[in-house]
Amino acid sequence: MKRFLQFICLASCLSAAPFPHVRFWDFAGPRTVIAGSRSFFATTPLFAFNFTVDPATSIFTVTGGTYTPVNGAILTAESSGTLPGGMYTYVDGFWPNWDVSMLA
Amino acid sequence: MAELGCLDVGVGGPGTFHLKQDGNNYSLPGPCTGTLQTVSDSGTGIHTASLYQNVNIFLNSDPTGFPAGTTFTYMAPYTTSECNHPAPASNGRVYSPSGPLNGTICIIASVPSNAVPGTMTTHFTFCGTSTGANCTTFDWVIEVVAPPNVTYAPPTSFTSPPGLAYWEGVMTARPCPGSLCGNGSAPASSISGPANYCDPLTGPSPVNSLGAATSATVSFYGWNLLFDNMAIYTGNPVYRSGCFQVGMGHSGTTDLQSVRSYVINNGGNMIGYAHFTESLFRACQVFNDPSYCAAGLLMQNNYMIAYGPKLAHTYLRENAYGLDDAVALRKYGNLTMPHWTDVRDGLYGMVLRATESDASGVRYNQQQFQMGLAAHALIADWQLSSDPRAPYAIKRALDRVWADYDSTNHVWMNIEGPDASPWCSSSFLWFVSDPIGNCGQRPLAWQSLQMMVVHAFWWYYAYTGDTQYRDKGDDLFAHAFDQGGLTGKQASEIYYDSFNAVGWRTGTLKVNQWYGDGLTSFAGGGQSSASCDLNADGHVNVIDVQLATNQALAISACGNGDLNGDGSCTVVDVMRVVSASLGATCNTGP
Repeated sequence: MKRFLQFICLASCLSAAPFPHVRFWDFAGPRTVIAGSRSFFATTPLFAFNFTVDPATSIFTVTGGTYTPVNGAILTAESSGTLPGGMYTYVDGFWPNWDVSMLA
Repeated sequence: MAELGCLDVGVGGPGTFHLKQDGNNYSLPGPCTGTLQTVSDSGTGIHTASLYQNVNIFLNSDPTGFPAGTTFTYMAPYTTSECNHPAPASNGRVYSPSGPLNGTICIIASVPSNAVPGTMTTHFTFCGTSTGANCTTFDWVIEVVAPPNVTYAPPTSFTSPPGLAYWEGVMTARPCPGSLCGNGSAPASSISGPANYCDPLTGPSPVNSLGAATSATVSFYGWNLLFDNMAIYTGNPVYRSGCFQVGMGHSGTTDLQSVRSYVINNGGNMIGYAHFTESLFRACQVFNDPSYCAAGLLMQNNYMIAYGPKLAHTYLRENAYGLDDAVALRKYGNLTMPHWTDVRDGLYGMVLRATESDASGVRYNQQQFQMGLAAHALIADWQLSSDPRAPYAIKRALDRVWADYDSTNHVWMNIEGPDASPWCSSSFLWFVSDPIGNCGQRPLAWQSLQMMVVHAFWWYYAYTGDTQYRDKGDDLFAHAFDQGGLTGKQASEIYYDSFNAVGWRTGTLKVNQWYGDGLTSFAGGGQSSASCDLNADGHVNVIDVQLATNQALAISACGNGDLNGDGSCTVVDVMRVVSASLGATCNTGP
């Protein structure tokens, strides 16, 4: 399970793409490509969306896109600034993640 | 706000949700468990969430920017492998289906041999739907190089490396049975080495002393095989009967070295550093006991070769062992694994990536001893495949190792640094500063470990005749004992590959020969790994004839085309391949 959590985001994944979009976590493969041979690449593109949160209710809201939260979906969070107080990102070698718990 | 089962009941609306977390143990929370995530403020900047599961991501088209004529295939993951089976498609767009590695996709680019070398920016566009919506393009800069053609020019004469007598002395010394002892300036006879953990005269008593080089229930590297190599090297068969046989075949409940039982009990599918294929087949041969061969064949279930390559850079060692498994299964078990070439090509990419920075300056750091393990596998594979990438990739690996070598104090840097640099990562994380803080260090305690790459320096010297690599290997070799006595694990590290290394360095082995193959006869029965199936694809045909011809004409290095073992590739060898391609039995004898 820990392995599953150990995806590290490429620097380029924080580019200013419209949301929701696809972002890339880990990209394995060589820079050197030998003619006449096969080169193997692997990547894990993930669906991403922006969000805000109301500290009074701790209700999160999808912004900038049309993603509809699905109960039980697993996500991790990052911020171009500072994550909301109480949330954290990379800690001690691991990315924390959360379950979406939908509001009725 | 109340909660009812999995659902929150309260004020919300479209696009709103709560988050739950299972404490801080970083495990995936279940939808009906965990604690509600509350926040104390809104934070600053733009917050982004990424979804892990149950969302298919589609490759919009073939990647662009590759040389003209490049073709692509796509594979999807299964269990540990990212490249297991053809990826499914929807609306003409391939994707990776749900599963343990959900979302990961394996892209295989076949670049034509006449591609013009140069720097190119490639583009991979992925979309959130099968109709091409919500797409993002990822760019990856590549350097296209011509097919390698490292000239085969072996030395015409050989010498012995400095420290060879010391290496031999430590090998058989037994100064303090079962314990670490001796210092680096003492005579070799007072330094604990492998024999120190196995009494060759009275048998390993207690048997558990053989467990000196284990992690959990598995021995490291070639711990058992090295005893058989010692028997061959010294001519003393008790290392075989007293150490190798017990280690491989003991069935006691407390012995951690019961390799045959361990493999059989696990069906051949074990943890990633289980590495027994060659030793099992060796035992089968020298003890004339088919139960070892049966266990060796079970190694086809070892996960990397069974499922295909895993390209995440933290799996260099496992991919190397997977390629080792494929080679040994073919060489000794006459079994061609379907993912052999996949693991081979994946491993080449990993080795190259460990020696180069990407466009943003990041290099996949690898522990250097694992580069030695990779070189071990690539050399073994080259001996069957004659893959021209082997000397090219190994040279790059060696140059990377040497770039960080302290030739004044004769100690290498196992983990590149400095801390927090783009090349420093923990063994699990990509370009995240190593929390342990040992990047860029050269602890003297690591000198024994540096032996694990010496074989590659000396194989490259034996291939090219380039004395720079001989001398660099000499330096690493001569100082591997500077810190004195060896633990069982350190003894395993030092003697895992050094029989091959010494053979290539001194000219007693040619670059296409593997220590132990054909050298096992003193205990009964010789062995030849020669085969007319030079590319090891399971068929002897015109391709093999061409490979043999190329070797005879010195277009490529004389390797596995030397079927009669006379040290040269000639028309005699070619004709044997021709005959075999027409249905005759392959003649591999003198």
